[in-house]
Amino acid sequence: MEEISQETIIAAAEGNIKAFEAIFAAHSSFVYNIALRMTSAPEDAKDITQEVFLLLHRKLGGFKFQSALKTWIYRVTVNQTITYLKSKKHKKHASYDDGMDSLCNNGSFRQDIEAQETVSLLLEKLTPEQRICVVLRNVKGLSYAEIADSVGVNADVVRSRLKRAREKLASLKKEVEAYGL
Amino acid sequence: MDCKKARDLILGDYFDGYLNDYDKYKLEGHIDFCPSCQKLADGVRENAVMPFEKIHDQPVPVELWESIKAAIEKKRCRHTFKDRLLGFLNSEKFCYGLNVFVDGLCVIILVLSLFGKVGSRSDNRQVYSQLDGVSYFARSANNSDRHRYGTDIEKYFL
Repeated sequence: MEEISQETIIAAAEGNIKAFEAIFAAHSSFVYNIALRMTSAPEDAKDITQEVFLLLHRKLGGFKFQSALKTWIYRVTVNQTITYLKSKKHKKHASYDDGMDSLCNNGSFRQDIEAQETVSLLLEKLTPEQRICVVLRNVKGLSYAEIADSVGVNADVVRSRLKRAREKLASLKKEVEAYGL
Repeated sequence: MDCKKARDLILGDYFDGYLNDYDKYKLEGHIDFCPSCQKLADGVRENAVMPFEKIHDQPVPVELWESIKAAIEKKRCRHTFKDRLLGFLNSEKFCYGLNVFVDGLCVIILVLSLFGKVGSRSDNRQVYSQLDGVSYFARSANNSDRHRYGTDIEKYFL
């Protein structure tokens, strides 16, 4: 993820659409993939990504540069995703196949979809709070401190949520095997 | 190392790679000889670690930026209309128009209030004529009852 300069952020806050596009290009993959892992539905992920970037565009003028833009975007993404999951907008759950089948049908891509389905099945067993910690740690590789910063809790809470989540996932072993995954 | 400590490390630092070499060595030694901790470690590895290593980031749909850009433009247009409206409200032309309108309104109110007064005067006239009628009847009644009511003294004073 490339770092966005202060000048670009200021220009985007002043309404320069090219500067905002640069921010989108740098951070949209993170936002979209977090939303996709959390909802397991490409359409929902698109909605969340759009909401996140419209919110960023609206609030960018008030950004104080006290933290990195990246951290701020992580936080906004986490909040929007959890709010979306808890709201009635989220429908349970459109399969990855819905959005991916039309793209490609080769073997490696099929394996990829199966891996996505497995992860999606596992993540559905967790609460949104546990799920976001697992996604940020296991998928995006964030440290406990970074997760804590994004979620707005302290590192001990992150550690505790991850433990509970792993305990729950480990106990699902037989259930997942029964699905033939 | 006891099972409680081993369980704590398996669910936390061990798979996150935060464990130092000594603790890792001790934990793995425990796992080798403890079936329940081994089962837990296998479960975590198979369900909480390995599946996540197999997945890759998905590309962002190309149409997403276009829809965000369109939403921003739409919002900007709404802002522009609001700005134009505020600009018009602050313009000299609008102030002049507003003055003319207020002046006209004052004139209309003045005229209406004058007509209202004329109207109330004609109402008063009607009331006076009604009172005249009442006093006429009272007088005629007094005249007709002159022989039946009052004493001589009253007649004298009336």
